[in-house]
Amino acid sequence: MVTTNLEFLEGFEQRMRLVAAIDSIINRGNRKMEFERLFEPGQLDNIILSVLVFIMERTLTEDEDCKMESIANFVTQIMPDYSLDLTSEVTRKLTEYIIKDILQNGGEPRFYPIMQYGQGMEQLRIRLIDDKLIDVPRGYVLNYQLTDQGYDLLFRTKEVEQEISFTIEELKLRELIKRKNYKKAIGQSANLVQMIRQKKNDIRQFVQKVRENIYDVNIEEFERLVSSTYTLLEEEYGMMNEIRAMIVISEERLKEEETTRGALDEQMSKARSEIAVIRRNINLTIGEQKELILERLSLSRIYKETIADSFALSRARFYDFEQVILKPLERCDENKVPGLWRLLNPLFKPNPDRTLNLLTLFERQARLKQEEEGTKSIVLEELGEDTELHIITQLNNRNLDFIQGLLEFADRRRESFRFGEFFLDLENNSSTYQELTVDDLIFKTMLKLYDLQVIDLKKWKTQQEDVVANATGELDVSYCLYRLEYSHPDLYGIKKLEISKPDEQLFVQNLETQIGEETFSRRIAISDFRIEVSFE
Amino acid sequence: MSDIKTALKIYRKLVEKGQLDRETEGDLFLEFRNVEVRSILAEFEDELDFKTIEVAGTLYLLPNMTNDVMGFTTKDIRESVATDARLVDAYLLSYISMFILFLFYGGRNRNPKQREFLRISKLIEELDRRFGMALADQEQVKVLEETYALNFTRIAELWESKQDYEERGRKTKTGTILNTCRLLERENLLRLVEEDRELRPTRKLDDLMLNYYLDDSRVDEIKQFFEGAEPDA
Repeated sequence: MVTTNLEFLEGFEQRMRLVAAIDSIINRGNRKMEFERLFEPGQLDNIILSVLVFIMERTLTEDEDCKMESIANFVTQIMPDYSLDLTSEVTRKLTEYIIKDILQNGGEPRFYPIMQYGQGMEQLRIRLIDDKLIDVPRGYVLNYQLTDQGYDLLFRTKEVEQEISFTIEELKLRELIKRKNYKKAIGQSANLVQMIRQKKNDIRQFVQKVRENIYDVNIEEFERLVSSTYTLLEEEYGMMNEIRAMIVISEERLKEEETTRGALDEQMSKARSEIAVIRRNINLTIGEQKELILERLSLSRIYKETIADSFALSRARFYDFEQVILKPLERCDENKVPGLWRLLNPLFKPNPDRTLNLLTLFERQARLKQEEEGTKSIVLEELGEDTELHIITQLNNRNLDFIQGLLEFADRRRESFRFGEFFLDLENNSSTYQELTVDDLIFKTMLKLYDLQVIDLKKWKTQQEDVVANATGELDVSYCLYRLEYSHPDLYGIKKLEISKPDEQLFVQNLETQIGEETFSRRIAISDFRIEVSFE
Repeated sequence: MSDIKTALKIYRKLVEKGQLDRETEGDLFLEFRNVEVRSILAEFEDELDFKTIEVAGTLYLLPNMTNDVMGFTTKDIRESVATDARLVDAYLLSYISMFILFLFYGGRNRNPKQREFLRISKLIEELDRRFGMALADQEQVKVLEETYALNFTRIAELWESKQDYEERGRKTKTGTILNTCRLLERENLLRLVEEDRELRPTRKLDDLMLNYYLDDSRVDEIKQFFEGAEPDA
């Protein structure tokens, strides 16, 4: 007999969602064998799931940021359980592999086909963790948290029934307090904190999702979230206060008992400290609920606005970037090359200062010249500088070489040194040596540094403002540091350089210059300055 | 305040920062919705060759492709590589910039955004593959070589000639990419995170790409750029 009633398959997609989540771990893409081969079969699966549990613990129970470092520390902590002793560098890379390559699929979306009977196959996007970029001084850090799918997976794998509602958790807590089972009630109240925080995270992630990509969001999801939050707030808020009142009564009873008896026995004292923890958790939950009320309102506003914007967006048709831009760019007429900036123009900030700034009238005028360097047969645009401007550029570059050389040497030495030592070391690098000794630039610049006495790199890092290209060729330490920061963002970890003349010691050097067939020699004598260096 | 004054105030803010956010400039932002102010700004747009678009609480000023008063120049691009950069370097930088945009927003389905982040190592791999393909296509190489002195094959060769990605010097692959990314970062389009090993698009880039740059209506303009008469650089 053929069964035609397929009701038993209703909600089948729910089951497959769990399979899809697990598949993303077990059949992970982007496998890197250098890490995979470190483990016995199945071991890494255990570690990945442990990492997910850690992220949940960290963000929900402890309400702490969860950065790559803390996850790496956790991985280090559990490695002995797998009988592995990895160096901290390998552990860090392994953690990155787990987070970036496996759980975030290298930044690309991962999909899993799911059958929705009656509606057909649907591609479900799998994303177990999410990250948030946080601005910190001098950079950004990433904070990781679980997504709805991530929580769903963890709750189900711990066999907590999905249907458990906040109300049931609350009822359990109330019953436990009634029965004076404070020890269990602590765990129960902690569950409440977790649940309310999860709801808060849901809202934040939803807002982020709405802002990042409205296509990933559907109206059912929004309504579900808003209505579930609303229900949670309306129905539970009163009950939480009721529980708090019960706690207060319990505390009062204990107090009375203490007054009557004169002191509390060990068991009663324990109960009192347990009640204190419960009260803290309840207060925490109520506090978080209040925040949730505010976040719900902003959620509705953001969603409505983005939906309005997306109406325009959904009508928009996008061109094929590869066909329209990339391929023509690869067959580009050479006459078009000087104008390629036009492609980027609409994305860049307006740059009116260059053309509308009155000061440009007073700038040195440059004559166009043919450049001749590098790959042959390339016709270069006629653009350049007049000789003087060229000299200034060279001077700037030489000053930069000098400052870079000095910091590099200080980094190698890690202690104070004399100018003479630096100079002799420089002789090993013939091209820089030539650059810096011609016109005696190195000596003149050194005297200027002595004049400055201190180069405070740490202060410069905190105070730096917009640096303009040095138009004079004079030594401008700030300009040099600005350029140097591109290649060495930490400026060799140096905090400060102090230039002093501790004694009358001289550094004497004979320099030779070859002009035609003639060799000229000149003798330079300069105070042998001492350069003190301190590191961060 | 008169409408013209309000329009000028909005224009000035837009020119200064490239954008106007409702969160920080609520009053001015709402003035943009005033029909009179809007029409004055529309005239500015026509005459000064730019566009304004509003996306999720932010107003952006976008210089048109042909706008060389507010926009960039080849010299700016070259100087972002290095003061002594050549045209071939500027070509490479432009190509890498476009390739990054392609990897992020090159999807062919309803949602063109393809990824949330891009690791520099992955970008190098993808560029290697793309340039490798270009060099392997002998027929195309021959056509390009015969037609143009400065062509994509040269760019591919320049890329191939760079050392591999461990070093960060200007002449390495990583250095070249970081140079490009820093330019895009200064324009608030990308963020370099995880110690310069990963790229993330900013909200501004998402907004501009999805609400303007990738719009089908721009195809003619882009085609015209590649096929039309030689523009003034």
